[in-house]
Parts: sequence; C-alpha cells; structure tokens
Amino acid sequence: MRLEARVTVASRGVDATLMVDAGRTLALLGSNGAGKSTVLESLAGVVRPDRARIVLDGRILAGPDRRRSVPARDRGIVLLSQDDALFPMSVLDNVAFGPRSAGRRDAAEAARGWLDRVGCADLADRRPAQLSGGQARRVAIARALAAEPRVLLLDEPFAGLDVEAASSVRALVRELLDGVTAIVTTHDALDAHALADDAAVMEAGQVVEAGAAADVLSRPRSRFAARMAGRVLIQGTMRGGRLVVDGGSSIPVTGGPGAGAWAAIAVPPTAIELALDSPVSAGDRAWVIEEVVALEPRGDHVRVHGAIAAADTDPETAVTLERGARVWCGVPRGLPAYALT
Amino acid sequence: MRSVVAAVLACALAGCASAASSGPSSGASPGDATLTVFAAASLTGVLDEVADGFEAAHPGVTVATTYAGSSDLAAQILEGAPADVLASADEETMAEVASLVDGAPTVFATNTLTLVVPEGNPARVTDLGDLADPDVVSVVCAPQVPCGAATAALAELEDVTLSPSSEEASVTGVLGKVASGQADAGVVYVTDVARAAGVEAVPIAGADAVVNRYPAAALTDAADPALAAALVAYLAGAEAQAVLADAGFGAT
Amino acid sequence: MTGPRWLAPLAIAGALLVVAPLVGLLARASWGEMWALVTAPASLEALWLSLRTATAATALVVALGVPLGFALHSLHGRVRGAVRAVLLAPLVLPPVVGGLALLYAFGRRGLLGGPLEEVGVSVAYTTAAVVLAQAFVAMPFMVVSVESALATHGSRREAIAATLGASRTRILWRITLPALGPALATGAVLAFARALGEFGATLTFAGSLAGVTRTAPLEIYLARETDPAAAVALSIVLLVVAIAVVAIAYRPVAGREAR
Repeated sequence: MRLEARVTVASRGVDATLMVDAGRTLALLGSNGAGKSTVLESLAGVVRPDRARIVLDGRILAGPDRRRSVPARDRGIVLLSQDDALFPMSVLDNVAFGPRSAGRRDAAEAARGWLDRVGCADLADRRPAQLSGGQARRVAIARALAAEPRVLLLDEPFAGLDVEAASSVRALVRELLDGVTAIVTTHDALDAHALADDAAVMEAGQVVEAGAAADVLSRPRSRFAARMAGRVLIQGTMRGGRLVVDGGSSIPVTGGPGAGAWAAIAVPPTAIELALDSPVSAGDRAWVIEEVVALEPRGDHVRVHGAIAAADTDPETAVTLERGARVWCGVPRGLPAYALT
Repeated sequence: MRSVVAAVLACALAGCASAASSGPSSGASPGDATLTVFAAASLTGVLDEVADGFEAAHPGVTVATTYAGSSDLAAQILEGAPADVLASADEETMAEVASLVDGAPTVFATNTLTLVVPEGNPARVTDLGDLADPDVVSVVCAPQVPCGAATAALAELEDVTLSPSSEEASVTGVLGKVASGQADAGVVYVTDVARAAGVEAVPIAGADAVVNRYPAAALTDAADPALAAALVAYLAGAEAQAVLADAGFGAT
Repeated sequence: MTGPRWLAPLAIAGALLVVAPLVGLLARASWGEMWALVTAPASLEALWLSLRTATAATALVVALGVPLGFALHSLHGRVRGAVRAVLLAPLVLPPVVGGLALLYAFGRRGLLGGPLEEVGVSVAYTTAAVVLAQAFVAMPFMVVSVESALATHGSRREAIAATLGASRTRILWRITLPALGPALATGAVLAFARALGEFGATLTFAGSLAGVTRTAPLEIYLARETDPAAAVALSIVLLVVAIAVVAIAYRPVAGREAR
C-alpha cells in the first residue's frame, strides 16, 4: 500500500525517484526550479513524463508504454496547485466538482460538509473573485479533499498568502493531512517539520536525500540538504571527541563515529557567532578560522558564508567584509555529530 | 519608396481627384482636348470603337469613356461628376438628369430583349413561356432596373407569368448565373449576349414589341459644349451606326 | 501615452476619412419619411430576412466555429499557421471571390452542389444559400476569437479538473467554455454583424429574390437605383446596428474572474 514513482522529464531536467507509504505525508523539499512541481504534475498525470514508472497500491499508473498510462481523471491523485485555479462557478460548485464528476448524487451535501471542515461554510454562494487569498486556498483544499483522493499532492500550499492567512491555513492542513497519503512541496524546513512524516530533498531535478523527516532535517548529509533544512553542515574528521575541519580548527562534539571517520554536525546559522578579530577567550564556543566565500542579504541581516560554516551578522558589519576576508565563526560546543559515508 | 508614399499622400491631401479626371481645362495646348463620356455598361467596347472613329475625325481630341449602370452614372452626374456626354441605356435615366442636359437628347441606338441560356441549352428553353415553368431555373433583372422593367413589360405583352429564382440588379448578374449554369435561362439584351462567353441566345418571338432606346446628350457642365455636341451628333451618324449595328444594336 | 503633436493633424485626417462618409449618409437621409421608408413592405421584408438569416448563420458559426477554433489550437507550429491562414481567408477575401467559391462548391454544378442536386437537394436560390454565404464570411471571426482566447487561457484549471476526476466533455462544458464566454460572445456578435452585412457572396451565390434571398444589403443595392431615399434609410438602420454591435463586441470587460 504505497506510491512508488520514478519520473523523467528531460525538458525540465527532472529525473526523480520517490516513495510514500499509505497514510503518510512526504515533504518534497527543494529550492525554486528544483523540479518539485514537475514531479507532482507527472504523478497527477497532468504532465506526460518522457519515462515513468508510477505504481499506486500495486496498480501501474504509468509504465514503459506511454500510451497505456492511466489518464489523470482515473488516477485518484488530486493536485492542489499554488494558484488555487478555482473554477468560474460558485464556491459550492467548486467543491462539489469532484463528487459530481464521480457521479455522486449527494455531491452538494458532501461539498457543504467539506466547506464546513475548512471553515468556509458561509462562503458557499460566493464566486472565486469574491474570496480573499486565504479563503480561496481553503476552498481549493476543500475541493481537493472532497474528491476523496487516494493521494493528495499539495504544491507549495502556503505560497502567496500573507503571514496571518498562511499560519491559519498551515494549521488547517496539518489537521486535515492526518491519515491522508500526501506529498507536500515546500522550500521551508519548518513546514516540512510540522506537516511531514517523511522528507525528500530535490536538487537540480533529482532526489538527493530521502528518509524520515526528523532524520533528513536534523541530520542532513549534503550542504544542499542542510540548507533546505535551514542548517549549516559542518563536515570534518573525527578525532577524540572533536570534529577537525579544513584548516585545522576543531570543534568538541558529542557522539559520532570513531576516530578518523568522516562526520558532520548540522547547526542553525543563528546559533553560530561571527567575529572579525581573533576572539580573546574561547568561551563556550569553538572558533573556526574562515574565509568569506559569499554574502547573502536576508532582510534585516546578512548571512556570511564561509568555506566551512556560515553565520549571521548585521548589515553595518557586513559592508566591511568582502570575499576572501578572514573571519572567525564561533560554533557551540557539544553538538551531536553523525557519520557521513 | 518613401517618396512615392509621400507623393501619394500629398496628392490625397491636395485633392488629386480633380486632376486625375482631367478635363480640357487641365492645361493642355489648344486643340488638345479630352472628352469624358459616361456610357451605359451595355455599350462597353462598342463605344470605344465609335470613339476611335470620332478621334480620327477630330485630331487632338481624346475620348475617355467610363462604363457603368445607367442609374449609377446618372447618380454620379447629379453628385457633380465631371462628364461631358452621357450615353444612357434608357430614356427614363436620361430624364433624371434632364436639368443638367444641354439641349434635347438624341436617340442613337435601340436594343431588344432575348433569352439567354447556357451553352448547349441544357433545359431546352425555346420561348419566354418556358420561364413560367417552375422547373426551369430562370433569372431576370429586377423590375427596379431598366432591363428588368423591359422584361416585365414584355412578359406582360406576351401574357407570361415569370417565376424567376432571382431578380438581379444588373445584366451582368443575369449573365453570370446563366454562364455558370446556376440558371437554365435568363432574359437580357441582344447585345449583351453578343459580348458574353459560355452562353447562347434564344430569340423571343415578339421581342420587337419592347424596344429599349439609347439616348445621348451633351451635359451643361461640359468643358467644351461644341465638342460634346459634336460627339452626340457623331453617334447618330452613319459611321457610328454601322459600328453599333455590328454589335447587335438596332437602328433608331 | 500621448504621442508627439504632429500626430494630431494626421489623426484628424484619419477620423475625417472614417466619419465624413457616415455623416454624408446621415445628411442625405430624409428624416421625416424615415419611419415610412424603413417600414415599407420591401424594406421590412429585407430586414426581417436579414435578421433571420444572420441569426441562423451565427448559430451555425457558433456550432461549427467553436470546435474549429479548438482544433486549430491543438495544431502546432507551421501546420497551425498554414491552417489558420486558410480558415481566415474569407475575412480578407473579396466578397465576390467568396461568392464564386461558394458557387463552385454548392452551386447547381458545384463540387458538392452537383451531387446534392442529383438527390434532389437544391441549395442555390434558397434562404439556406444566404445562410451558407453568411456563415462562410462570418466563420473566421469565431475561429479567431476562440483560438486566441485559448492561447491566453492556459490549461491550468483543465488540468486540475482532470485530477478531480472530470471527463473531457465535463471539463469542456463546465470549465473551458465558461472561461471562454466573453470571447465567444465577442466572436458571435462580430459574426452576426458580418453576416448581417454580407453582400457580395450572397449576390453572386444566392441570388436576389424578395423575401427569399434579398437581404437588407441587397435591397439597398437595388433600391439605390430607383429609390435612393429608401436605400439611405435602410443603410442608416444597418449603420446603427453596426455601431451597436461594435460597441458591444469591444465593450470594456468588467469583473472578469481572475482567480
């Protein structure tokens, strides 16, 4: 009882393999353009992959023979797109669309039930143009669930909403996804944490890491996956309870593999302190000598990326730095290390 | 290219229309003159031949002919079109422009009606009476236009109730539908059949009872009234009459 | 955006070119007799025939032009360009050429008309011929409206509807056609106007018989010979209809659902 898929869409550089067990939610993490939407569209049958093997509950939805692939309407896989794509009809008719397509006589009642569950019962007679962004997203969610999908695909379900609407929709989705087989694309580690049982990281069209969400997010194995998880991956060699990084600095860690093994710690950049001069006393941090590789403006602060770690600083400090400048990164001691193979 | 466009634009803005329809006043040397003749469409071709003869007799004179339906021509003249002579296909039309005619019109030709059928006469039409048969697809001119009025008059004289499939606004419309086989028969003027391809004439017994008379007249606005009058007179003369007779027109 | 000043005189010249003839027509009208002229039996008969045939032609254009627009949209690249050029030809074809073409297709000796005649179906000189001629010249408006609307429409909603389990037919009726509504309306209105104004193809192909094939434009053409006042009166009726139709077809689109 699960969805297994490998899809290749050459024109978009996608060649991804993933798997979701029944009743679980998979977070598909990746930056914009990584191919997340293409994967979802291929699964739903909206995009026709160049090559695909999609198996749902033992039924082959797409295989080597492209002509025999199951059409979108017969897959039982519903796509909730980021643009809502509500139909030009009343809210109630939108939600009743799936049940009606299935020939259900009680479609209107079912739709009312779903509208109630997403908190939009009073909007039944509205037209899509009369809805706020948050309302439209809720209606789109109700419409998707009313179709009773075997798998629900949510493409960036909180994108394009203002902060307030996003947080209320987030709570709604968390509640509704319980027990539903679903894939949620996001570039936000927090959403992945909150919604998903499993996580997969996509980079340049490929799934580079997959596993239980807690594992993937707290113990990323690549710098990219770490970035998706909102962390900095500091890699090095284990030596007597310390992680020795390039340049010879070492960081005291807990756990981790035996001496000589390649290991890493995943650190939130906010936990790392930046110093421009050699720190006078070490304090509770291990200091790593760094060379500035890139400066990334992030609203009210600037993230300074080094060859090994990264840390945040204020813009006033950032303007004094340039590529190649020498800085010190203060990493908390005693973080759990894990092996990289 | 740009200069051509500019010239055309300048021309359009400055009103080249009057220059294009150059009358004798357009600055040619004395003796050189252009005579503009508005002539009924049924005179197409034959009047050019007549004009050649007139030009030969009047060195330095060029006759420019414009052919159209008589009613159109009358309407254009009433709207101020620069014409020296009008040669109409019927006297009613001439009467419409009477106020602009210099002297009395001269009738210079006559025309009678005939049946016209597609080559081979597939429906075996032999007389005007056959056009009362609903199985024969016939087209005639609408009674509002001269050829239609004549057709209606003839049908009444012959005591035939026509059942046309279409009433055309012009002889050309009738000929076109007969020539293309859309119609089995039509009624047009004898001279029209002579000029048309793909059709045959089937004479109507008693067609002489309805004779169409072609009047010509010089117009009061003619640039050279004497020359205009000379052309009108020439039309009635022996030379012109011979050419007209060759084209199937009857004598006056 | 306001252009340079020297555009103004040219714009005025352009406006004159368009407006002057219309004013000329209005100036020639005998307003006192207007009502009597328009309600004269011949005029009414022609107007009524025009109304009926143009409505029938519009219905035919909607029924066939919409599927044609979809089919055209589904083609790709050069093939689409070539097919579009052929389908839109009646738009720019001289009407008399259209009439000849119809004649050689549906006329008594035409490609299709000949065999039809054999089995006793005669199109020529019937009101159906008028409708055919009008639909022929009006079809491009619908095809081009549908095709360009589809081009900007995208297929997002259709894709989502498919994942919700809807059949293609259901998607067409419930999603695509409602979304194309404004374009369909514009296409239909323009097609109606074009059908109403059809003259050349009708004259060449269908003939001119009062009450059967003599539509308002043909009546104007004929009346202008004998009764210019009636011709002008009918012309003004058609002018008013034309202006109204254009005003409707190019009305500012308000409240179109974006989400």
